[in-house]
Amino acid sequence: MPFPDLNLFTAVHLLFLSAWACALLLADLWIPKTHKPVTGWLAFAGLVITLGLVVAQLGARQAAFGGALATDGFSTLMNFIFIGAGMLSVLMALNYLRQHDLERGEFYPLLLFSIVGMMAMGMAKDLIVVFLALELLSIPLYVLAGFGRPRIESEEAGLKYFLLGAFSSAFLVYGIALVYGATQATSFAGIGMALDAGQATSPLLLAGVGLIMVGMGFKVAAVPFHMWTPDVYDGSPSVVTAFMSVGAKAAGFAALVRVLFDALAPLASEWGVVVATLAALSMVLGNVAAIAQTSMKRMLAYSSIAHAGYVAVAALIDAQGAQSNFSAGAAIFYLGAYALTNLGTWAVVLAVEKPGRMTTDVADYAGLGRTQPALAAAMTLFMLSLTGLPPSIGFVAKFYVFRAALEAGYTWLVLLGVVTVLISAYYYLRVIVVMWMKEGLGEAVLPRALNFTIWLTAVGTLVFGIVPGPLMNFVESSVRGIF
Amino acid sequence: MFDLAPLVLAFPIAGVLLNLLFGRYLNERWISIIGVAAVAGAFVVAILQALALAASGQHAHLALLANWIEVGQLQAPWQLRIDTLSVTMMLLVTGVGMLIHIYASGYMHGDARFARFFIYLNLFITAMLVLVGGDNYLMLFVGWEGVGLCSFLLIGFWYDAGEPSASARVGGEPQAGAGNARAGRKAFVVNRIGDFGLLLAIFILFWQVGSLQFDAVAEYFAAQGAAVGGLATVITLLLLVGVCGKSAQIPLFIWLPDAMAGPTPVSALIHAATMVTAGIYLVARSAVMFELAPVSQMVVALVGATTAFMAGTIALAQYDIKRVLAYSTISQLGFMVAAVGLGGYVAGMFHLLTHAFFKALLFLSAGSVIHGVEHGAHATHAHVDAQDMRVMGGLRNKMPVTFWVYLIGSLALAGVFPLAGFWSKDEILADAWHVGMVEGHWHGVLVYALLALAAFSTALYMTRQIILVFFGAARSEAAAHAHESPPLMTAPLVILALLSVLGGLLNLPGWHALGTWLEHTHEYFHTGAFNPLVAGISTAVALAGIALGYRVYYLAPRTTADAADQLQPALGSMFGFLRGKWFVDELYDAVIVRPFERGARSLAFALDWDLWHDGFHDSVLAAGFRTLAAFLSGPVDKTVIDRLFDGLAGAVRVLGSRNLQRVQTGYVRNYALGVVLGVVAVMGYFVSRSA
Amino acid sequence: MEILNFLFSTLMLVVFFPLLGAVVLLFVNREQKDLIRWLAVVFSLATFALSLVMLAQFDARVPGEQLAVVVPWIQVGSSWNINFHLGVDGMSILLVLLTTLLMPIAIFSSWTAIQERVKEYMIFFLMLETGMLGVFLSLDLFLFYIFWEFTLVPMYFLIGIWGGSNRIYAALKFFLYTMAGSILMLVAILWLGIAQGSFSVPELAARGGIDPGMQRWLFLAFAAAFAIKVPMWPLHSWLPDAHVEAPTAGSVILAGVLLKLGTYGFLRFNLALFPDAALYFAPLMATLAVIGIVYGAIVSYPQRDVKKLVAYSSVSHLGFVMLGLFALNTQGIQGAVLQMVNHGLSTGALFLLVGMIYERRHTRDLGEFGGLWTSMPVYGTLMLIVVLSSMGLPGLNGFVGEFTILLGAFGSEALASPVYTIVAALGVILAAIYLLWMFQKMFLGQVTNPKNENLPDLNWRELLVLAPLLVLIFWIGLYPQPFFNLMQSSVGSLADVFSAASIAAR
Repeated sequence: MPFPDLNLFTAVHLLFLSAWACALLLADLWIPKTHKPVTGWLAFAGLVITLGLVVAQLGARQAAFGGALATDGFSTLMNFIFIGAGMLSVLMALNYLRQHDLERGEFYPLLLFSIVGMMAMGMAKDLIVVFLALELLSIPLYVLAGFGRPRIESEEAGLKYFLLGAFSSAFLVYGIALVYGATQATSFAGIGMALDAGQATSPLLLAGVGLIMVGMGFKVAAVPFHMWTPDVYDGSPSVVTAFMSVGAKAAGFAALVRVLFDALAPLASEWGVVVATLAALSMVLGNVAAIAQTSMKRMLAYSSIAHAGYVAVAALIDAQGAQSNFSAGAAIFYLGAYALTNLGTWAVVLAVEKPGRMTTDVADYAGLGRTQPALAAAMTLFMLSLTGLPPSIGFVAKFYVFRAALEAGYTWLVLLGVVTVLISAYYYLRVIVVMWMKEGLGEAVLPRALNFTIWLTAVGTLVFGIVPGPLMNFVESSVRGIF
Repeated sequence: MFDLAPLVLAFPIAGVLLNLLFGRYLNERWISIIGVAAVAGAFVVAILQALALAASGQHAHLALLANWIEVGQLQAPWQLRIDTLSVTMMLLVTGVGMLIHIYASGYMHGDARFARFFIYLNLFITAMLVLVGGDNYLMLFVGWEGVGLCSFLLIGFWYDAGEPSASARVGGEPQAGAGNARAGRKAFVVNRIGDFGLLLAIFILFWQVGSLQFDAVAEYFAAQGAAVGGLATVITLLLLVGVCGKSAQIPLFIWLPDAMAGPTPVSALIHAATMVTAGIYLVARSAVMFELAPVSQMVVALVGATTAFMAGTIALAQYDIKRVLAYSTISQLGFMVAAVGLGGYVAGMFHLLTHAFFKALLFLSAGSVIHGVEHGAHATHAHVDAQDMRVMGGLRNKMPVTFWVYLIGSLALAGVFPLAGFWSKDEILADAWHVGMVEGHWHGVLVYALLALAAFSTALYMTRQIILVFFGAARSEAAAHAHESPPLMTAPLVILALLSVLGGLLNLPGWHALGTWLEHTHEYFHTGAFNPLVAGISTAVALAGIALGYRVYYLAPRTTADAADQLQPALGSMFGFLRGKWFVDELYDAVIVRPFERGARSLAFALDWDLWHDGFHDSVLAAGFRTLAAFLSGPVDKTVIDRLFDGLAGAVRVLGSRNLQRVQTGYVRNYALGVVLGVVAVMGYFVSRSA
Repeated sequence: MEILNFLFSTLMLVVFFPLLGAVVLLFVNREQKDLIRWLAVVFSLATFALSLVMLAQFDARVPGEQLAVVVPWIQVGSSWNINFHLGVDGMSILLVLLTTLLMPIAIFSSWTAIQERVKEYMIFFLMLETGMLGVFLSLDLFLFYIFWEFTLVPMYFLIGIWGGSNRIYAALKFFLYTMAGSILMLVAILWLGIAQGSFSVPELAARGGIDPGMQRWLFLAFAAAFAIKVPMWPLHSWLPDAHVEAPTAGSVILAGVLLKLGTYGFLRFNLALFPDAALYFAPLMATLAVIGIVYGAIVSYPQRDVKKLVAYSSVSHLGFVMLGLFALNTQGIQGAVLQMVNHGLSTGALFLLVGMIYERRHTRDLGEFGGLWTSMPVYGTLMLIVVLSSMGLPGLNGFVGEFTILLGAFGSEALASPVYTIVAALGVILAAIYLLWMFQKMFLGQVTNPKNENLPDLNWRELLVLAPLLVLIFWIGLYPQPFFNLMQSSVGSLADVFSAASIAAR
């Protein structure tokens, strides 16, 4: 039995970041309590270096660990999203943790570990790796969700997330086992070969696929596996929620896209219906339920459920499989756009959040347009982008996604999608109404790192909304020919 | 001299602009000089055009001013048409108009809005000249609406005075002092109903003929002949709607009596001499189409004759000096419409001209009377309605000039030989006689009968008016102290009186100056033969009317202002019917105006707002949406599913420990069960697919 | 150099100069209100000047697009073929000029009316101008949609921040209703882009060949967006709210330009891209238009709030425009385009005038007025002229448009029935009823309310605001030919499609 080709260079960023996180965990012990931001900056530095490593891999297409992991355009793009989300989360956390008296050093290493898990999910070419990566991503997140202790909401959030996460992981594992039973393989390549050999409709295989999709659906917070989302989002420290809503969702989709497009493409006509249904349910329920929320964080939680639906719209494929590149690109672009806009939104939420209170009501934003016009303007832009109105990246992303679905023949889904966009306008606009048209104090604290985050995301949201071409080309060319 | 044609418009336009821009800086004298000069200039130009026309063999001349609307094959330029018909109308409009302008500079003396009055008058002259001078139906329509606007403005000139009559209190709460304004509005709206017909006629003409030029239309119908009889009938009936509006014929005549709310020169100029005759001009202009549509002709003639009769009877029972004249005008317009309906275009035009003279004269004289009585009222601080003939009486001696010209005008109107009215009215009656007796059409007989009755009542009501106003004793202090009007007002009266006497010369039997002049515009324009029998009958009818009036009103004079009318005993309840103007206003009010009001209100408030805006959009759409949202996020997403799972989970509650109480009574297990349900659904699908 | 040519091309300047103004305003201290106002006026006037340059460069004889700016924008793969494509032709040039003319007027009219948050106000106005100009000038569907949605946001703020007491409701309603239509259009645009491989409007129009059955769906999707915007009956329910609550200048722009985005959209897309469907739906659209004419006019009549009255009158007036468009012949379409301008002028002026009395009396209730002509003679006279223009008196602008439209509709082969015109012409009567009624209630009769006695007449600034509109009202009324000439060849080539198509259909 030959030793498998590890090809460590391909996974160098994974290895580096894991090592950096371990080192940081130790280093933190020597950092005095008054200087905890140093840990944060060290984490940031680690992410910058990782980013450099990912950039160095641009254009590469290699497999590692005997084909269990792959570095290709898709994973690179996803890595950008994960690292970017991580960097912005660190920036936001620097002040947030101090403000809420949560400055404990383990926060940053946990964040980095979670990012490692996400990156691994994007690279996974084997179901076992998917599962490992999922756990690596999730476990630090469970801890982070409960990081607000001793606040009861945060502890409850952590516990709920953990319990339900474990529950859904079980489905994933069971699904992997069934698929293995049906195809004698856990690698995507192996599953693909088995399918080509004509085991497409074996009940065992299909049941496995279904269970895998359940596991992923939980991670991306798609209806009906979404119920944990509002409670966990609301209860977790806001900065964790920000990171989770972007990173975990993106990672979940990354794996889903890999599994569906890479391994299960021949079964597209089977799982396409399920994905479309999940997408439809998520768009409708997420958006409609968001309307009734008064808490900003809960509203954004339902909004994130809805956005999972929009991404899922892109993760479709027509029966012939002809449009797969296209829709994968659309999904990635949408995830990136959502990450950018949503992190900006959360940055504003952090700015408005009062010290010692972990939730914010939409009503707290009243008068922000008068006291902090720039901040309110940025928030307005984010809200418009989340709605999908031009000129913002959110519009381009929706255009991209709907186009992909239309091309794949899912006209009904697109029509449903645009109707839910209209519904979503209602609650996103309400934030704008409150900020600009209601009287209130509209207090907000804007430390430098947070300010930078907001500026960066706002400019990105606007610029990529006006000149999306290069970014789209990059995405398209990166994923071309992978699936 | 045709080159000067555009000036006919330029003068009055200049008058409008000068007074508009500088009126506020000028005194009355200059304002009136500008106003009068503007019309006088146009009058001179019109005379020059007439001379040029006479010199060049009466051939129509076109004067292009500018392009107006050119869209696709639609070509409607600003272009004047100088032919005998249009020049005749221009002469009338500017000539009589000039006299009335002069009169107005005296009549309006001291009015706070003196300049505005002359602006309006000049504007009216402009619009009227566009109406009669344009060479296509579209320009005619422009003038048509333009004079309607001026009519609206001038009726409501004293827009802050006048109380709406009881029957006219429509449109929500009464508004103080808006009676005149309301009368103006009524005039405009009723006229617009007429314009509606004219507009549709224009559309048909354009799509059938491809042009709106008079020449092109005439050529088309002349060439097609009887083949387009049906088309001609439709068009001419639509034109008739317009005629009914503008020339105050049944059923659209109701605005003209109310129009007397305007200053008296306005009543004379617009609502007697010029604007209201536009309908007759239109029919004459469209003669070629009417000749192809005998049905329309018959309808036109009957409408005219009926109007003449009806208005003539109403005039018998009115006390307002101007209102009598207003109904008289409607009646005389009925004569003219009947004439053109019978094909007697020249007769119609002839009566139009003579009527312009003597009706303008009568209105202006009435204004002079009102002016005098107002002065008397002012001197004695008496509060009387200066237009109410019941408070007058005995003015013959106090206002001699006015009396004599009024008498001349009345005789002319009554058709007494040899005044102008005799000749023109006789021509109409002769035409009706011809159609009825000679050609044997039943409607000719009917028209003749109605017109003869109308002529009789004309003589009667004018006699009544003369006697009530000028004879007997003064029935109020105001009348007792009335005095003659200034020369600036009486001078035009004298000129008009002369015209009323001599107007018959225009188309005297055997000479037919007007007929031969107009013939050049259209082959259908010719004068019927003089019929001594008809002339004799009509003279007899007129004299009978005068005699009856003399008998009823002179021999048993009214002594007090509030005595009953002398005719009342004889007519009984019929008099009330006439006094109430056949209750047409009330009828329209009940059948059209109030239902429209009610309908508009319920449409706007009940249907559009309560049902559609509030009901559907707010209560159904928005509220339904909100309810759905609350339902999905509340009961469905939390309560329903929670309750469901609470029940399911109750069975396993024993497994929970106290420490995990919060989580257990929280939602985690429920969420987990939610996931399970999702799993079941997904698996169910896949399993069913694999089977 | 190429980039400079692109940036400084006429149309780029016209569209983005206001946005530049908005950016400049960002850097002005919010307390310097007068400076902000002057800057906004200067930028909008400069945009107007630029649009005149565009007019000078425009060749009316050319039917197609001119002064085109085409830059590849989003070119992804083979099927994403999106260009940044601006161009002007006879159908859009008048509306561009109308926009650039109305905008300085609207800004100027807010001089004293707006005292709060002047900076944001002006920024939103300038942004709105860029959005509207972009809609009229973009010839790429994607770009068009961006500008189309972009106009929503500033208007939403203008109503929501500076509006009346119920402003938030009105703003939200305005936004959601308009968006509800647009999203269906978005799907249709996507479909077109996929199926035809191009987003270029001229290219799509020239190519044609969309299956007639599919055309109908696309037509309906586009119509959903435009009909709400116009608004066509029965989708007008948002209009009275938006108009009543919007600040004066907002109403002016809303009525003057924003509603025209809808009618323009019908012309540019529904007629040009889906001719078969347009023919098929013409009777339906004309029916709705005609109902709108009569309905709007009747509902206007009993209103007590002047702004609401004028708002409903827009439903009626735009019904004429729609009738003209779906007459599908030269007269109808040219009349409709001219009537779009006319409505912008007349109704814009009406809203300005209503705003002026509102500034003095802080009420718009008809019952509060009466006899104003006595206390404010100049105001009364100007109002009368505008009212007459609005009701289509010959010699003023409204008539030329309405007459041409009705004439076109009467002889339209697509409608094939004079009934539409006959009913629509009733609107002419009804217009006289409700407009003169309004005029009487406000201006005639005696001054019964002492508050109306000593009102100051219009000042020089207000006269200056109204002057250009009045000049145009007379100009178009008396000599509209220059305006028709601008659109003649463009509309002519569009109308040719229909004459040929309708013949083929038979």
